[in-house]
Amino acid sequence: MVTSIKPTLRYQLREYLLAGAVFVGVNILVILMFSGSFYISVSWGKGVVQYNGYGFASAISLFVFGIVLPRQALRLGVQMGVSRRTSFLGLLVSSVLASLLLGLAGAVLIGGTQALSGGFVAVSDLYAMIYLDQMAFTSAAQHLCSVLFNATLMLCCFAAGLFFTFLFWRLNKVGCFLAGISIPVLLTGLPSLGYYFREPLAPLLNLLTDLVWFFLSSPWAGMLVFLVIAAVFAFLAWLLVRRANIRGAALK
Amino acid sequence: MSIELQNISKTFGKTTALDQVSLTLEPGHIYGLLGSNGAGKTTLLSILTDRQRPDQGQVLVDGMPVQNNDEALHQVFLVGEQNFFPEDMRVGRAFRTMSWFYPSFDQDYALDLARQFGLPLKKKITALSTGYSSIFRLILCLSVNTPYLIFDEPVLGLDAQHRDLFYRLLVEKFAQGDSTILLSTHLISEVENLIDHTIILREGRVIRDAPTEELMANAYTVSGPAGLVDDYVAGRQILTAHSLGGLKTVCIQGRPEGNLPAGLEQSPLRLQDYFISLQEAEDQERKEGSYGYEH
Repeated sequence: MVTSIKPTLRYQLREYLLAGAVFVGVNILVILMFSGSFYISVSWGKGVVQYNGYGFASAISLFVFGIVLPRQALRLGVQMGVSRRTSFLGLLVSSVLASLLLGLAGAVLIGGTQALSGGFVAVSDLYAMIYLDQMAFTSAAQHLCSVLFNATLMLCCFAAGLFFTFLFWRLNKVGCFLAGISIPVLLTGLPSLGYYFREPLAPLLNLLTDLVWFFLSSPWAGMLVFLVIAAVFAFLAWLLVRRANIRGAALK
Repeated sequence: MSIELQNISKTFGKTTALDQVSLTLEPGHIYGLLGSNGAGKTTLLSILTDRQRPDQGQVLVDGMPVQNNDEALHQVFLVGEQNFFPEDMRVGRAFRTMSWFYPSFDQDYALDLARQFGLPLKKKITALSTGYSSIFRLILCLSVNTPYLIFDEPVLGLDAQHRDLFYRLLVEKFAQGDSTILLSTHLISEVENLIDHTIILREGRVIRDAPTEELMANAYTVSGPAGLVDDYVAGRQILTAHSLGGLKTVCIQGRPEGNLPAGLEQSPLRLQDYFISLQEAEDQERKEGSYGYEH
């Protein structure tokens, strides 16, 4: 069967890589700016400049990618004779590749700053913060773990963005309003409800606690949790888009 | 080799956009899809290209269902009023992107057409005027070389000169013999000499689906003194009747038979006039509960 997956991937990957390149460039600039100003103004080589934001920033960036890029990809797809299934598959494959590349870029950033600064600048990520006792990586295996951990985190956030963008696409005005309110309400309200109703909800809370301990037990467990969450969001996103009415973008 | 729409139905809330529409588009024709505002033309075309899913029915392109089928979808190229290109994409880049998805896209021809129409290549698609947005989409469709080309309101915002150029290019395209064309337009008088098969939609139903020549051969107008006209049209199927002073003009469904009585004038119906008469007849049917009231 003929599919349009190749041009779809070519187009989508280009968009992700352009955005990813901007993201990595900004991170490098931030590191240079702060470490440079710290060096000049304060330390003259003494002390350590720590930059822990790459993991979180990557996650948020991929969440934004998940919100912004899919609709335009789907729209361009229907114009170009690409089925929504192929477009959606292209989104997932492109996001996996982009996540891996950005994870790799992070590892290069971490290792590069370590090597070039002689320890003056320490860039770390969530993997190091959660699973290691030190900020700097001391082995290739740790770098590999960092790449994969960040990649799965980014994929999870991308899938969440994908879900929300299609959710808001499908909902009417009232639905969008309700969905928009419910997110912060649930995020702040559920923990409080969990505390007040901790006795009747004990089995559920214990399950969640076990899940958190499982996540913290090893980076591979953490990656598995991210992948499962990504799969759930991606599946829900597909359910939203498979019968969607794909219209052109509103003109300004 | 054809496009088949089988029992397509689509509703939006309480509104029935399409009601059991079945059509076959055979190769080697220029089809005209005509209908009043809200008749369901754009919805039909969106379903044909899987931009919308029907509530019932299916679309087959060369025997293949279009749903989630890249091969089937690739046979059809639809351009309409809506813009499906990214906001920041410029015209030139759109042409290059087209050639990624459609190896048959003739980029040189597209650039030549852009020059002929005066379309700026460095401008963002979303920054184009209404007319140039239409021109951009026309150029894509004329250059893509897929077996089925669909134009939904192709000349929206185009001046007379550009409309004339488009129609000439369309005829040239058709003459090459590679494409089947479907035109959905309100400017019936401009395309009536181009389309050789007419499909008329009204309130989501197909009310006419026939070669244009056959449709025109089966309708005519008679005008003259009101009394004579009334005598002549007795027992015939009238679409519309208009009176002015003592004169009356009647549009009749059917073929003229025999000689016309003295004092009456018969004239063939143009497609636009036939379309208008048909719509008026349908409106009358709704009011009176009978179609093409007999005199």
